[in-house]
Amino acid sequence: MAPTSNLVDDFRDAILEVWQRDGKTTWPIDLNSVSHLFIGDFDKEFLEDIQALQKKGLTSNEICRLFVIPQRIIRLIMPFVQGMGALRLSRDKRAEHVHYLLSLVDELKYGDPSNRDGRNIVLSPEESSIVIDESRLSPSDDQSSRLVHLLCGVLWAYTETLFFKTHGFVREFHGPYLRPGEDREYLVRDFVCLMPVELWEDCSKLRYSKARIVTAYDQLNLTVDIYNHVSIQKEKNYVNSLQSYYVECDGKLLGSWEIEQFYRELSEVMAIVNKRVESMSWKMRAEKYAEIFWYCKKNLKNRLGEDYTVPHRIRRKILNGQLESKHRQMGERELKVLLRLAF
Amino acid sequence: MKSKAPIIGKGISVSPGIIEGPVKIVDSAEDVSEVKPGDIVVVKYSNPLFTLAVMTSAGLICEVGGVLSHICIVSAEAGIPCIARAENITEALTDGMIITLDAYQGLVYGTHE
Repeated sequence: MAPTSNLVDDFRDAILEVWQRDGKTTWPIDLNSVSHLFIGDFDKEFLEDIQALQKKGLTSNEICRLFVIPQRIIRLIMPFVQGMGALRLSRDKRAEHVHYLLSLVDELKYGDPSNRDGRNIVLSPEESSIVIDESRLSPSDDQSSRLVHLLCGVLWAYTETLFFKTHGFVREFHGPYLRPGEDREYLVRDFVCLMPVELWEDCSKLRYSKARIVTAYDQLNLTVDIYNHVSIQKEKNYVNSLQSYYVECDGKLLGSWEIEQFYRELSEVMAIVNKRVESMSWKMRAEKYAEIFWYCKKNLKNRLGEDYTVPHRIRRKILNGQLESKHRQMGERELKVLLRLAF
Repeated sequence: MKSKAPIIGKGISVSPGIIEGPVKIVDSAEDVSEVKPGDIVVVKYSNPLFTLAVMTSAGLICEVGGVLSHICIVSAEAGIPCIARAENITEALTDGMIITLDAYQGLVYGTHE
């Protein structure tokens, strides 16, 4: 029997909600049109990696930490389901694997794994009291608020340039965290991989590999969905509602001048990589997507002492492959049926 | 006053605000470098590089996509008024046209009569 726990049901409902709202992102190429060239092989290897880690005696807690952030596991699940379909695994088997991945998410997070309460609570109260440290937060004004949010925006675009649509693999937006007796909502934006030099050597020019932006807002009624899309109360905006903030990169707190400098560096590297991507053929873009998927499970392979890169046979498959062009936008009912059939 | 200005485009509100300014249609890296502060950027589709244009601009109109389109998310985050799903807007507007973007209502107005 397939696992029927709330974990899987909640995940299915949460995904459906996002899909209904999602603006289809096809830059630099529609993932659905190329994933058939590598996703089945990726899944097979991914399952083997996890089994090998279990065999090696790693606990699920040790395995989940190899993914660094819960969002990386969450973002892997639907491509993983697609790959299991290509491998012709039964629905029960697929549900079992989805359940396992969700149990890893559950271990990495303090709050609900699928954010069914509208909050993405990764940190425990003890951990969040350290991260939301009053002594580190600076009061904001118009200028600093604008600058901090420009940095947030450019970081988003930068990671999208490097990791395409799957940039959820490397960022986690979590919160809102609330403190007793306060109206403020605290949001933490973590960018955990800004220098993937194995994918893009250009990013070695950057000075920081990780960024954390902690912001305290006044009554925005923040919600965070399963894919970390943050929503705020209609007719309000982040810039006007910011009360205090800090920006920390590789453990160092940045002042306004350093934030501006970092913003410029991110923009420059983004422009260079973007130009590179724009000059790529669809096959090169597909190959880069494969590299991104293999890169996101690099820690698993490293723990096993194995090569993490895309196998040559996959590169050949992409080189000799064709674009898939038979998909269309589905309605709510079709999506529901698809999700029920999938796992 | 506004009621006399013709509505030349409609979309959905993504990030609220009302602004007036010249149109800059962005479709390439060269276009990005030409955006000036105060311009209202108009894009047909989302490309992360275009977000640099949005950061400099006063507003964003996106022809396709929705509230979760990446360029719209960035715009909202930066507090820049933005609408999405404004059908055929890149055909209705040309560079330099002065328009008013009402991103509360999701409306684009032409010059007052």
